[in-house]
Amino acid sequence: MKRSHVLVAGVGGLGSLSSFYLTCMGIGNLTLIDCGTVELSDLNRQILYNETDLGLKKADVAYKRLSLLNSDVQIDCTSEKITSEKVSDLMKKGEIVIDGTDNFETRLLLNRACFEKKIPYVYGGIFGFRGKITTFLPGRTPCFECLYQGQEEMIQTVPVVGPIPGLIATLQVLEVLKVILGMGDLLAGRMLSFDGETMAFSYFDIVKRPECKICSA
Amino acid sequence: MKIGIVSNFTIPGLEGENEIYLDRPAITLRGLLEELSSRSSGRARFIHPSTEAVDPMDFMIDVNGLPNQGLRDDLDLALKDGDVVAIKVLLLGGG
Repeated sequence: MKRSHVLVAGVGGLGSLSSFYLTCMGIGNLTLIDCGTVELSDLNRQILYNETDLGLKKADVAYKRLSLLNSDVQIDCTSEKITSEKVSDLMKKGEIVIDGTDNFETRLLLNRACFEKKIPYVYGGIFGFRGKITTFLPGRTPCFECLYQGQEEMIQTVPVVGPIPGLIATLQVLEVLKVILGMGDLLAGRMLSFDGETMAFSYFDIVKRPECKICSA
Repeated sequence: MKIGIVSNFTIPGLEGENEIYLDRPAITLRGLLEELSSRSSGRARFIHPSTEAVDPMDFMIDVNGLPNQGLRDDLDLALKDGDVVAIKVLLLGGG
């Protein structure tokens, strides 16, 4: 674990909790990327921040808080936006990407870059009482693009019940840990879906899209 | 009757198949989704019990290439022999 380098893309609802656990666990190297600032509406779920942080850059605040948790972890942070031009550079160091973004556009960029660099991409997504997670392993499983149906962001501000990103992010960290240690059964080729209204967990054996321009090209 | 099934996941009970044969002359979209759930022994549930509709956070449905919202009334759509129903599990965008 000390030799591992995990990249947390987005330090919001998912990323603040996953980076917290990764730091507590003593991951060797952590890179945080987030171009946003802390807003009041973030505080129902983004556990790294508090009311005194409003308006501050999330990457800077996250770096400060996480550094206090475990000084053995080498943490880098950047407030740059993940764009098609920069994604490859931003991902230079990471061996695993953990998804904490809040939009499809950035996820498509991360997916492409992970596929090209052949590094695992642990997807997590949330909406309301719902959460989904799967681990994309380039060359072995379907990729994000295979499943993406071209749906646009439905609304600007996604409603999220606080504990849902907590649950999904915790599962993402477990996936990262298993990738690093080479043990256990990953959610590779399987999507786990959680419905907090009915407390139902469902699994889907996802399949490659033959015409996928990323992994079937 | 025979209905073609397209999906981005393996529907339990329909592994390796891309069509389903039904011993009846007619069926609605709701009936088909319930039949698929039944054949999966409950492992796949397409209609949410509280809304009696397809949850738009879970699945995208189309029939012969035409989107179906999966709302309660939409599920009354009568299917014909040879129709093709696509059921796609959806990703969520929030984080």
